[in-house]
Amino acid sequence: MKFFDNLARNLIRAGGIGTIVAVSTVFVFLVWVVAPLFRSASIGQPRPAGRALVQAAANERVIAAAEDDTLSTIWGYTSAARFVVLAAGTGQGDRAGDWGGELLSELRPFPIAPTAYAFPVRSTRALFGFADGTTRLVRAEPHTEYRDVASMPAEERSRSVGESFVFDGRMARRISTDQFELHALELTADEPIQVAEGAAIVAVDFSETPTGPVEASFDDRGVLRVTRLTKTRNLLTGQDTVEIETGQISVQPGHTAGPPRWLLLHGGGNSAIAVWEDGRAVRVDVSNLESLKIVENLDLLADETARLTQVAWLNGKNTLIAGDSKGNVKAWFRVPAPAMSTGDGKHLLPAHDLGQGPAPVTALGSSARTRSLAVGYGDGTIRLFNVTSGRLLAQTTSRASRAVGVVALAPNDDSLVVWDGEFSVASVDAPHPEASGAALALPVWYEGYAGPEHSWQSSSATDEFEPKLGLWPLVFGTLKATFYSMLFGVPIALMAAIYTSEFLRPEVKAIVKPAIELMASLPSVVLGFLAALVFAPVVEGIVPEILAALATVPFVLLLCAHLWQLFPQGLRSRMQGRRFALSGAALVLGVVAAALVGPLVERWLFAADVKLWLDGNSGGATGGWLILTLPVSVMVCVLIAGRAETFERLLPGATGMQALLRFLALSLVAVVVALAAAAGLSFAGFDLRGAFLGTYVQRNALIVGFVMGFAVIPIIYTIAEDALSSIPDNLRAGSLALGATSWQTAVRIVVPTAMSGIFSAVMVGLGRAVGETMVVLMAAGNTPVLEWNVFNGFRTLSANIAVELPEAVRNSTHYRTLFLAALVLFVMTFVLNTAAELVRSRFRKRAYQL
Amino acid sequence: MNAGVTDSGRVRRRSTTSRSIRAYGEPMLWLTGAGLATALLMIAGLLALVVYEGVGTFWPSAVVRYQLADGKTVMGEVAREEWFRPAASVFEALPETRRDAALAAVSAADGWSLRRMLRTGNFELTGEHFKWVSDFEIEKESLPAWALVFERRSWGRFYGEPLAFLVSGAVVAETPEDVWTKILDTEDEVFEREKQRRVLETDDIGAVNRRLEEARLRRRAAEVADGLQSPQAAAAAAAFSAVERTATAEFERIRARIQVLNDSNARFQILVGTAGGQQTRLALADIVRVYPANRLGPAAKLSVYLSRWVEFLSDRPREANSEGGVFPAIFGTVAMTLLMSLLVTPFGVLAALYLREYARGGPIVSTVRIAINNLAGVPSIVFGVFGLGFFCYIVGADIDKLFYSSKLPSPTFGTGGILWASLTLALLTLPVVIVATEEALAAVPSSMREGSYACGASKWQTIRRIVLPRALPGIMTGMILAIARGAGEVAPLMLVGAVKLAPNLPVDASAPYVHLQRSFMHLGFHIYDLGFQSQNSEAAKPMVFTTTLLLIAIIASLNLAAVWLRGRLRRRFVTSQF
Repeated sequence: MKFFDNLARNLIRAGGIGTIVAVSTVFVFLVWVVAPLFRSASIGQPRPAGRALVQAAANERVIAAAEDDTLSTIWGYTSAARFVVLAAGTGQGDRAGDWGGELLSELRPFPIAPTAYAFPVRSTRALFGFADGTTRLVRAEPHTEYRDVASMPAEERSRSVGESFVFDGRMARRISTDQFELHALELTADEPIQVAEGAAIVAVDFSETPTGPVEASFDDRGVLRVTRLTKTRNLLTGQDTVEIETGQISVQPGHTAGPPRWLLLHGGGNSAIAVWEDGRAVRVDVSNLESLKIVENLDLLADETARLTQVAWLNGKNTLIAGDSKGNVKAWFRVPAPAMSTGDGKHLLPAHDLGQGPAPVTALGSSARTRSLAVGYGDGTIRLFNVTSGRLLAQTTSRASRAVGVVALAPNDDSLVVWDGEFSVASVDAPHPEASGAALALPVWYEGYAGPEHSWQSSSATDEFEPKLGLWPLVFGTLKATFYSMLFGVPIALMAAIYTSEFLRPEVKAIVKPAIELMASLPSVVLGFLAALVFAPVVEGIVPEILAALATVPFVLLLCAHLWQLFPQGLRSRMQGRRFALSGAALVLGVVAAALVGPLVERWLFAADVKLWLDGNSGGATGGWLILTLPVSVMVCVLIAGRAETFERLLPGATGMQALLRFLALSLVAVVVALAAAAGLSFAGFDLRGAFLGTYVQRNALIVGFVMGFAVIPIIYTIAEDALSSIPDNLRAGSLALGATSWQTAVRIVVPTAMSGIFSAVMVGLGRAVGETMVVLMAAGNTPVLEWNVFNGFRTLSANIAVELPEAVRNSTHYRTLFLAALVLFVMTFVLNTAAELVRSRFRKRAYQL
Repeated sequence: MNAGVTDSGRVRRRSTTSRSIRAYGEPMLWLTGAGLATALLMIAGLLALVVYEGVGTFWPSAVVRYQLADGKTVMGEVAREEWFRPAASVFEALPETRRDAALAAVSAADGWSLRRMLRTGNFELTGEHFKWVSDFEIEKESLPAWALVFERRSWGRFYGEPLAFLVSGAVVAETPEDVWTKILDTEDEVFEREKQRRVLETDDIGAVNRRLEEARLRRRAAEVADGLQSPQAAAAAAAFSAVERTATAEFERIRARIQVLNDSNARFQILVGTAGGQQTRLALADIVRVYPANRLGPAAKLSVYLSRWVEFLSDRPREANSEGGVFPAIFGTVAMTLLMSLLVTPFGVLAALYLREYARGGPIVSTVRIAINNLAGVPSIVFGVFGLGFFCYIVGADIDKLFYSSKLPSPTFGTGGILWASLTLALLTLPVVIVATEEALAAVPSSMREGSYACGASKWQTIRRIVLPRALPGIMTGMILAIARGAGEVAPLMLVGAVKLAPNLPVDASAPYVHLQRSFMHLGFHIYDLGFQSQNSEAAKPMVFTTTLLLIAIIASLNLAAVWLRGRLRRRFVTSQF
C-alpha cells in the first residue's frame, strides 16, 4: 500500500514537473535557435599554406588568389604571369604540415606579360589585356573525380577514411571504405581576341550577364571599348549563334594625365566606371553600344591628400568598394536620381562608410555569397565587414604583420586566403553576417535603394540577391491587423457583454452566451476562407454603403430608441423583454438605411466613384475627413451639450418628445460641425488619403478587421461578461434602492467595479489578434507594405512564418530570423496575457472582498 | 448621453428630477443591445451561409441552354447570379440588330444588368469551365430534355445530349431514351470493372512496389554496414535481384489483368453532342456519375444528392482536390486528433494532479499556473515553429540517423509527419486539458477527501477511488475541448506535416499498419489549400463550402458534447453533496 502511494506520488510529481518543464522548452528552444544570429563572427589565426612561392623569384608578387569550396586547393596568379595551384593545407589536423602548400600544378599561359587583368567575383573566369591590344580569357574550374579503391595504387589503399593527401598533382581524400575523391583545379586559356588595333590595353573588366558575357577594356589612347557577346539559341535547330556587338567612346577627362588605374563594369553590363588613382572617376552608360555616353564625373576621394589604393566590386557587381592610402573604405552604389539628370537617371553615392583602418588599404576580397568584404591593410591587419550594415564583423592580423598583398574569401565564406609574402589561410566563422539588432529593427540602406528603408524581402530568383530581413514591416502588419480588428471588435464585444450581464433575462442569456462562445470555436481557416473568397469580393462592391453604415447604423438605432420613448411608460415597461429584439430590428433598419444612403454618399462625397476617389485622382478631401470628424464632433457636441446651461434649459430631454428633439438637434449640430471641420481641413490642404485611406486593394485591413472580429469578439465577450456577472448583487441592489435606474447602476456601479476584469478581457483579445494566422494569411494579401491605409493589405509576423518557414533552409539566416519572428510573437502575447492574468487575479481578490 | 457629467452639484439637481427619461438611458441600452445583436447576427449569418452553401452544393440543378446574341449556344448549370453595370464596350461587341434592345433593357434597369455564371464544363473542347452570360445577350433560353451531366474522372464535368451508344464502335442505340437505358444497363458492370482496376493499380501494384523497396533498402543497409565488396552486400544484392525478377513478373501479370479490364470497359462509349454543335465520344469507364438533369424527379434528385454526399465522405479527391471526396482528409484529421488526445491527456492530467493535489501552494505554483494560462494564449503558429525546428529537424533527424540511415538523405522522421503534428498539437492543447482537469479536481468537495482519509485510505487511494472518478467528466470535457481545438487548428500543421495530397493513409493494411512518419491530409488544411492555392478556385468553391460545413459540424458537435458533459458534471455534484 505504502509502495503504491509512493510510486504514485513520485510518478505524478515526475510527470507533472516534466510536463511543465516540457512546456517551458518551447521558449528555451526558440531562444536557442535565434541566439546564433547575434553571436559575433570570428576569424582564426592564419596558418601557413604556401612555401612553393618562396622558391620563386624574390620580387614575384601574388596578384590574385582564391580557394575552392572544399578548401583543398588554392590558386594564385603572380606578377610573373603564371598561375600556381597549391594544396591548401587545411586538411586533417596536424597532418596539414605534411603537404600544405605543395605545388600541385602550374600554368604559364601567356608568351608576353599582360598589362591589365580582371578577376570578377563569383566568376570562374579571368580576363587579361595585353600591350598588343588583345584580350584573353582564362578559366579556372574546379574538377572532382571519384575513384574506386581498386583503381588507386596499392600504397594509397591503406589510407584511413577521411584522410587527405596529395596524389598525382591533385588533392585526394578517402571519403569511404571504397571510394576516393580527387580534387583538381583545371586552368585553360582561351585564344586571344584583338580588341584594339595598335594600342595597348591598360584596364579590363568582364561581367557575365544573363544574355551572355560583356567585356570592357580601356586602352592607352583613352578609348573605352565594350564588347557584348549575345548567345541566342535557335529553338528549332538547337544551335547557338553568338552575336558580337562592340561600342567605343573616347574618355579623356582634361584634368588627369595618364590612363585610369581601374576599369569596372557593372554586373548587368550596362554601365562602366573608369577610376584614376587620385579619386577621379568617370561613369559611362554602355547600355546602348551604338552610343556610349559619359553620364557622371565623380570624385571618389573626399580627402585631397589621399590616393586610392584598391577599388573592387562587391558581390553582384553593383556596389563599388574604394579603399585609400589613409585606410578609409567606402562603398558606392547607384541610386535612382531622376532630378540629377545624369543621363541614365541614376547617381553613384557613397552609401556606406566602413571606417578608417590602421594603415593604407592594400587588398580587398569580396564574398561570393553575401555582402561580406575582407579588407587587408598595410600593417597586416585583416578586417571582415558586412557592407550593407557597415559593421565590422571580425579582425585578425597576418602571420608576419607584413602588408597584406591579397586577401580572398572562400566560396562559402568559411575560410580566408591571405598572401603577405607567403600564403596563409585562416578559418572564418561568420554564419550570419547580415544579421544584427540594428539590421533587423532599423532602416537599412540596401543596394540600389534611394535611402535607408525598412524592408522585408527574403528571397529572389538570383543568387546575387541580398535578402532584406527587416522585421519592422511585419511587426507593423501585426500591429495594423490588431488595431483594426480591435477597433471593430472591442466596442461590440463590450457592449454585448454589458447588455448580456445587466439587461438580458436569464433564460435568454442561457442561450445567447453559449452561442457566442461557439463563435470562439470556429476554426480560423474557415474565417479566412470566407473572408478572402466570400466577403472580400462583396465588400469591394459596397464600400460607400459600409462607410455610410458607420453613421446610419448608430443614428437609426438612437432614433428608434427615441421614438420608442414616445410610447407610454406602461407599455414600455411591459415590453421591456422585447427591447433586445427591437434593437436588433433597429440594427437591420440601420443597415437598410446604409444601403439606401450609400449611393448618395458616393455621389456627394466621393466624386461618384469611391475607388477612383481613393486612388487620389478625383474629388476633394472632405469626404475622407468626415469619417474622422463625424465621430469626434458627435462626442464633442454631446459633452458640450451636457455642460452648457442654456442648452440644458432649452432642451432638458426630460420627456420623450423633448429627448427626441434634443437628439435631433444634437445630431444636426454634430453633422454641421463635422462637415465644417472636414471642409476646413480639406481647404487647408490636408488629406486623409495617403494616411488612413488610399488605393483600394481587395484583400485589406477592413476585411481582416471584420473577420478577425469573429475570433476576438467571443473571447473579449466571455471574459468581460464573466467579470461583470461576478459583481455581487448586493451592489446592484444598493444602487437601485437609492433610486438609480438600472442603466445608471450598470454604468456607474457595475462597469467601474468590473473595470479591471474588462481590461484583462481586452488584453486577452489583443493577444489573440496578434497571433492569429490563418485569417491574415488568407485575407490580408501578404504584401509587407508600411501603410495605415485601411483599404490596403499587409503581412503579419504569423502569416510570414506560415508562408516562408517551410521553404527556409535549416539554420540559415532566414530560418533563424523566422524563429526570431516567432519569438517576438511569443513574447508579445506572453506579456499581454501576463498583464491580463495579473490584473484579473487582483480583480478576483477585489470582487471577493465585495 | 449624459453619463459624462462630473459636476457633483448638477448631478444632485438632476437626481431630484428622477422622472427625467434620460436617467433610463434607453438609447444607450439600444446601442448596447445592438452590439449583442451584431455579434449574434454575425455568428448566425456565418453559420447560415456555410450551411446554405454547403448543404446545397450537391443538389443537382437544371441544365439550361442559352442561345446568345452572337450566335453561339451554351449549355450548363447556373453556378451563381449577380447584378453588374455593363461597360459601354460590352454593347459594341453585340451585333447591330441586338444592340439597341440590349441598351434599352439595361437602361430600363438603371444601368444594371443581371448576369449568371454558367458552369459549361467540356474543358477539353472549350478550354474553360465557366462562362458569364448577361441577360441582354440571351436570345433564347431552354431546358433541353435530354441534357446529360457527366461527372468524369478527369477534365471535370461534361454537358451534352446523347446521340448514340456504341459498343466496340458499333451503334446499338440512337434515341436518347435507348441510350439512357443502355447506360443504366451497362453502368454497373463497367463501374465494377473500374473498381477492380483501381484495386489492382493501387493495392496490388503498391504491395509489389513495397516489397521491392524493402529489398532495395536491405541491400543498401548491407552496403552501408559492411561495405560494397562484402559478402553480406553481395548476398543482399542477390536477394534484391531475385525479388526484382519476381516483381517484374508480377507487374506483368497485374498489367495484363488491368489490360483485360480496360479493354472490356473501353468497348462502351457514348456519342455526345455539345451545345456548341460538336460531337465527341465519352468512354463509359471514365465516368463517375451521369444523370439527365432535367428529367429527374425529386426522388431521383435526392438519390443523386445522397450519392454525391456518400462519394464526398468516402472517396479520394480527384481533379487537384476540387472534385471527388475528402475521405483521406477526414481520416487524417481523426487519426491526428486521436493520437494527439492519447498524448495530451495523460500528461495534462498528471500535471493537473501534481499542481492541485501534490504541489504545496506558494508563489512558484501560482507562477506556474499563470504560465500555463499564458501558454493557452500563445499563437498556434509559434507551436508550429517549435514543432518544425525541434521535432522534425532535431528529434526526427536523430531518429533517421539511428534507425533509417539506409534511406538517407531522403528523410523518414526528419520531416513533417502525423506523429510530429500530433505532438505539436498536444503541446498546444496541453493548457486546455490542465486547466479543465484542475477545475474538475477543485470541484470535488474536500469533505469527500477528508471522509476518505478518515476511513484510513492513503492519498493515492483517495485520488484513485474518490477524486478521479468524480473529476472524470471534467477531465473528459477538457479532452473534448482539446480535440475540438486541435481539429480546427491549421497554422501549425502547415509546418509539421499536413499536405495537400497524401498518397497513403497514415494507417493502412501494410506492416507495421500505423505509419507515424507519414504526412497526412487534414480538413482544415484542405480548406486552405482548395480555397487559396487552387488553380480553378471557382470550381473548387462548392467543395470548400462542403468541407467547411463538415469541419464546423465536427467541431460544433465536439463542443456541444463538452457543454453537455459539463452540465452533467454539475448535476452530478449537486447530487453527490450531502
